[in-house]
Amino acid sequence: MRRSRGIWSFFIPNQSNNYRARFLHLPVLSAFIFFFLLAQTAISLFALSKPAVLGYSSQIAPEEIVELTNLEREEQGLSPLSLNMFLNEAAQRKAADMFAFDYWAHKSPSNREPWDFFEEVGYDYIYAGENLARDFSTSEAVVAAWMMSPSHKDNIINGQYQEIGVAVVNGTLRGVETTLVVQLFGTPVNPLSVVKEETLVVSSVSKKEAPKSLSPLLITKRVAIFILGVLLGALLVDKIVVERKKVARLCGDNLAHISFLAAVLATILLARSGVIV
Amino acid sequence: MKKKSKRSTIVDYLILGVVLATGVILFLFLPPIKYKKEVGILVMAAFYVFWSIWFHSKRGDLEIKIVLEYIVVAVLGMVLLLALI
Repeated sequence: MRRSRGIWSFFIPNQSNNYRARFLHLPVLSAFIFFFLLAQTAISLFALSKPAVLGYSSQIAPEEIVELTNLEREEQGLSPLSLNMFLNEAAQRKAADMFAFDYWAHKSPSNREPWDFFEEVGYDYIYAGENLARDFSTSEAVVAAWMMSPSHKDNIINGQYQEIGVAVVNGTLRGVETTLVVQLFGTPVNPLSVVKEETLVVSSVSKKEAPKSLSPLLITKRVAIFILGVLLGALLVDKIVVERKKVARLCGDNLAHISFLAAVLATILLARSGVIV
Repeated sequence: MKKKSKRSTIVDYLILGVVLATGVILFLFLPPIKYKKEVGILVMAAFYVFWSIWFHSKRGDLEIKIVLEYIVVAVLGMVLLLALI
């Protein structure tokens, strides 16, 4: 009985907690900061020691982008695109070029077009297209954003394309750490060439190798949302109870804390929603 | 403790709400610029602490314990945002 009252005193102001929810006491608030920093250090150390378990930066996998793109095509009654290693390589080179020359566009500052990368890897095409995305944290979010943009959607559900290549590369663009997603579409001049058979073998191998990993960013995000949820709940309950009991006390203003923490929560939930071109 | 008019308190909260909302919107929709996130987070946290000092001094209950509470909440918000954004 005493223990349950002790737990509730973390949320409900009463005589035992000096009429202030215990979660809102200065030492407990400071402990939240300490706990979060400790959790983050542990996650970072674990990610460094077990890179296969925790993936860096985002949860975007090229295979998922291809799978989701093909799902969208199937819904339109179109045939799925097959993964092509040359298009994958061209996408990798495009991403590397954007990081190297610090730009975010279809055309590079030195006027290099997306098609230059197709030619560079020896992919002769009849039709070709490119979709770009950055700062997304999941493959679903990337494809959903493309599907909401008419020009990107046109590429995804274009019946003339037969093959696809995707690169997901982490790096620093204009001083900001980011994840770039480059999606290339193509229809080869000679679809029955030996090259295509080779690519299909390579693609299936790379698909099997793709590990399903947890993102440290996602774990940190969940811990942060949990902390904010607990504090917002404690602030709300504390405010309601104190207003009902009409207790006078000397402490910070709950409504102000709620506003500030809600702004922090909104920023965490809405940020990194990504950009497409 | 001074008695503040209800209208004055609403204006104080409105100022806080508008500045925080503007901060969030600018943060989310400005193009990625170097140190944008660090500066933005620092400005938002600093504004929150200064607002609290102004608010409680107007209310007549400004105490070091209260300022410390706001500083700890502001630091918590900063730490969470810097880790994630």
